[in-house]
Amino acid sequence: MGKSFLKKLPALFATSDEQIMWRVQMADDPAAFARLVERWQGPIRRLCERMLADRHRAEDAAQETFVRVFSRRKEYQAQGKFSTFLWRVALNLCYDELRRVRRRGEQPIDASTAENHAPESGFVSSEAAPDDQLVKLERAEAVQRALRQLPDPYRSVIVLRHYENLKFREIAEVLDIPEGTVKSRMAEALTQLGQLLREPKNFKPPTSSSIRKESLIV
Amino acid sequence: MKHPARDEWISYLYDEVAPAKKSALAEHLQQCPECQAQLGGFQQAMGALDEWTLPAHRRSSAAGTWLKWAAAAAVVLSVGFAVGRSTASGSREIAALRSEMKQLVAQSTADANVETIRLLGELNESWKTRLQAAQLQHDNDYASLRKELETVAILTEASFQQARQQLVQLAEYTRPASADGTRQ
Repeated sequence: MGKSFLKKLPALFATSDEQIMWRVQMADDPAAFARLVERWQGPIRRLCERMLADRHRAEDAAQETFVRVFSRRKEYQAQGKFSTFLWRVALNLCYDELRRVRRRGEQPIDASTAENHAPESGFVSSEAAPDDQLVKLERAEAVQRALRQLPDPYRSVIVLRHYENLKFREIAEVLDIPEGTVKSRMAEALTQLGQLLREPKNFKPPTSSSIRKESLIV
Repeated sequence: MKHPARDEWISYLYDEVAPAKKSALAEHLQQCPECQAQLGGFQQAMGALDEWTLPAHRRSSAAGTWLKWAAAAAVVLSVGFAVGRSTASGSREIAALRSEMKQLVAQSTADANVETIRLLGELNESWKTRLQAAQLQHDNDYASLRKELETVAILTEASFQQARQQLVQLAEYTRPASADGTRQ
């Protein structure tokens, strides 16, 4: 118990996002804002990457999010959570970008490259054989393709709940909709995703190496 | 049998239900193949989602205005970390690194000293020249001022003498007139 208390100590003394944001609002303090950026750039970048399925556009959108939050710092209401404000700005930027991309009829730049969904540990890990890696990459690619086909509101609920681990209540605040709606969107999103993943068009024809792997298994 | 709503199963899957509700749902699930199938579908989709992992980011790749500050903080932190590491570990590599650092520091200090001395010399020279120039200017000014004063003095003396002569003349003119006056 003593140990867990000690573990919680730094959190007790850490300055909250809201306190820092208050400082940013009152004193226009860029150094304080830099702390918020440091705390949140990872999650925001991940959100953009999942929403846009394009690493380079995601980088730009994440950067733009912080620029926009700083320039609209006076609009932030202190009674709300800073992260809610931040997620909302990022998500709206992602929607804008997706609209732009669709209007131009562009494809995500690196949607089909392995770089976008390589496992965290890098390409070659000690446990998995190269063929296993390839199968994993193909599956990840299929998931990514299926997610791209979901309507934006469904995808955003999946990204916030499943990948970024926000509670349904928090997502409801970010999206400014009832919590029940968030849950039904999640149910619908998972149902549609399952259907999309069962469609054969979402899977590439297996490559020579994966065929070899399968024949080894059989 | 009344089946729980889809939303309830979603909360259940993401572990966002109260303990009492959770056990009730689990109990229902055990005896309801329909709900089992539904839940299985959700779980399959959730499992698929887990397969898309993102690669770790290189911090420098998004160096924007804000991120530069973050980078500065990271540099400070890593320097602190390096110092901490070097003091904590006594391995040979660290020792070698440290002696190399020492040499580097000594070398750069020596270089800096030489440069400082050279700069000081330069400064000294320039001051000397300036001082000499100022002295010369001062002397010149003094000499010319003295000359001018002497001229003024000579001129003044000349005009004094002239005034005295004029006074004498004036006295000589007025004396006969007053003598005449006393005669009348």
